[in-house]
Amino acid sequence: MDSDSDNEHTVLCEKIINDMHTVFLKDTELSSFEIIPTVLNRNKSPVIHVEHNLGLESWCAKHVYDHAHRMLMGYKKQTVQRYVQQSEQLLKYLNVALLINPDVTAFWHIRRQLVQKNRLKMNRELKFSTLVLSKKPKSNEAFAYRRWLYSFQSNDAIDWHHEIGICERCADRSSSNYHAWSHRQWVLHNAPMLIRAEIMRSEKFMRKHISDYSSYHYRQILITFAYQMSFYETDQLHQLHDLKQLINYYLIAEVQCPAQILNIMLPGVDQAAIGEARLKSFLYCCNLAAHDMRLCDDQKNMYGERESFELHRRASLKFIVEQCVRLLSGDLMGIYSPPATPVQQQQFNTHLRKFDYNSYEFLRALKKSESLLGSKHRKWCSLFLGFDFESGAA
Amino acid sequence: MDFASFAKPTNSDANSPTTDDSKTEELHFWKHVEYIENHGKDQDDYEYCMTEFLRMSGIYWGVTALDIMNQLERLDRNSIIEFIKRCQCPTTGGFAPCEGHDPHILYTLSAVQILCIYDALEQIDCEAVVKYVMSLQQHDGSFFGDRWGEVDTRFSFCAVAILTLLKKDLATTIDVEKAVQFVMSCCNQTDGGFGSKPGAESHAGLIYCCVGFLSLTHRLHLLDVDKLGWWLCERQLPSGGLNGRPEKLPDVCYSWWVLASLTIMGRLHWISADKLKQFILSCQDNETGGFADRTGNLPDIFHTLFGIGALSLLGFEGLKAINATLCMPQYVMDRLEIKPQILERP
Repeated sequence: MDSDSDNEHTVLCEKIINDMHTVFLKDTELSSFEIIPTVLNRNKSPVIHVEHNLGLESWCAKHVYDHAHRMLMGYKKQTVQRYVQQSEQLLKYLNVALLINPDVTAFWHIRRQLVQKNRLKMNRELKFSTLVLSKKPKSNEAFAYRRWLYSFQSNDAIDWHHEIGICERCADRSSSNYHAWSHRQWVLHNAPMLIRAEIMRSEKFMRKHISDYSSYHYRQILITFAYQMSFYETDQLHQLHDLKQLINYYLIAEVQCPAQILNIMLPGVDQAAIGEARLKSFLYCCNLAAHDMRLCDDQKNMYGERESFELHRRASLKFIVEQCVRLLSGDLMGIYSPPATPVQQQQFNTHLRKFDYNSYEFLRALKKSESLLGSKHRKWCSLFLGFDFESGAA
Repeated sequence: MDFASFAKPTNSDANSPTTDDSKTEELHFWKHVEYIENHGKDQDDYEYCMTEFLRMSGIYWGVTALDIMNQLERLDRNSIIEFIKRCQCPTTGGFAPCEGHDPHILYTLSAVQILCIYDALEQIDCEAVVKYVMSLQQHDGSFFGDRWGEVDTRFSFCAVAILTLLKKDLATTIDVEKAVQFVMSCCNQTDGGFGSKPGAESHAGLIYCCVGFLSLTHRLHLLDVDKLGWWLCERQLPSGGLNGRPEKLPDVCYSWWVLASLTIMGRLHWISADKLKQFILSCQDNETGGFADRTGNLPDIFHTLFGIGALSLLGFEGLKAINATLCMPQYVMDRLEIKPQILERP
């Protein structure tokens, strides 16, 4: 390339980047970015802006990226103190470069430096990272940047519902989206008041995306977290429909009220020592797990066998069995709450292997019933729940 | 400076061993060698510019794959070492993926791995690297990837791998107990697997990092081998290929991560090796060389290393042995006298 055409090329790239920047300045409500497949330069601006959607024609993406990349690397050769002062220029190139290639951590780092020097506004940055996620819903860099930005805000100033909405959109657009679901866990742990809404939303998602196992895993974490937080909904405790059905299925016994359920699932425990909140949460969360077991069975009948149905049913079963065992042996182990450390978890696993399921009517019936679901399931039960099928009722 | 200048001009294989078709009749050995050698020769390639942010790892993938194929001399050792030296950050001691980028523990491990293969650790400031790794450990035992504070079990693996390769005593450089505790807190009780953070979904790549971490810290007894082994075996699909998580498609790179984890756990025999070999070989690009993630897709250097590495673990003839924990040629481990823990086959 001779110097004239080189120069022409640079001017063209600058023009396109300026066009994009104008859109950024004009429209603070941009909601999506896409590179639009086009083969030829049609001799008009390749920057397309329609109803808060921004597009760049693909023929120029390479050139524009190369140019922005070269310019940014040039700025980076200066000291941080110097280049952060040119924030307007930097931002122009950063926006374009990161929208085209969101994986370049060095470019995200420049934004962080600009934020630290108060050269960029928090809200604009959150919006920008959302825009990146509209193009690449799996971008861990964008999620990590959001977490970093939020670290400067107080917990109650953050719109956590909005954050869940972003996770949901990204998960919806890209199946088994590891980073979106990890981010959602982070949101949940920071905003436990979302538990109730999340219980409804996560089921909806699982029903809509039957093979997105990441959503099932999130649901497992959610139920465990709800139990850790002793969460329950009072109006649900009168019904416990799914838990009653599960008990009826295993024991062929009609149960009516929560007190009866507790007597069947946790015979002889010191209810006062465990505490009312934990017991209520036990009933509520076990009902959720029973609901999920039923959901998996129903889905299997409708769609045929799937790994996600099988794995989630197992995880839900494991939840119920473990919480029963924990409360039944809590006075022995000195803990009623779920294990907090890996060492406690190991101790509990050892305990599970030695636990005498046959001494408890409900667990004995559960064990017997589960043993009828095939040799692989039996093997899983003995490995993960410590069921000993050689002895006793089964 | 880039990968292009690392490749020596192709010669006519005058001093290379001739292809032994009877041994590797299904593996397009020389096409892969050529693919890796030519990787990045076209500097104007858009892909090449787009992947600059992981160049150091790209070089590690190419160098390791070629060494496993006994063709390391095709790359120019000196220019690679010079490139690595320019990527060490004078302030932190960590390595950037490429000049102009920022240091990160991922690329620091890649740099150290390449230098170990070339037996050239004396060319860099190793003490600065040790300080960098130490500076990234947090109070809960976890590691940041760089100064911006993301935590991931991958970084725990990188930290102990770097210190091990630099022959540093882990006990006097980092808080090993806490590091172990953090990794174990990322173990999922529902399947025995590991995720990137506490509570995160089990993922074969991260399982490899955590199992590798426990292998380097000699804590494999903490693993529940039966549970984790079950989950790893369930990754094998009817095509013979392995996926990285339930309900996902098979991918050649998981051949490495699942297989290496099972090898460390002494349970390689739990999956069907023949079917996996067929799957991996079906992902070769018969024309350009290189391996793709799945049959019929475009090849890349990342999947090429993990395809070759998995074949080596399966004992494929004509390939050098590879160390499952560090994903480096075994002879390099022997030279450095590094012996990560592995469990006996029961």
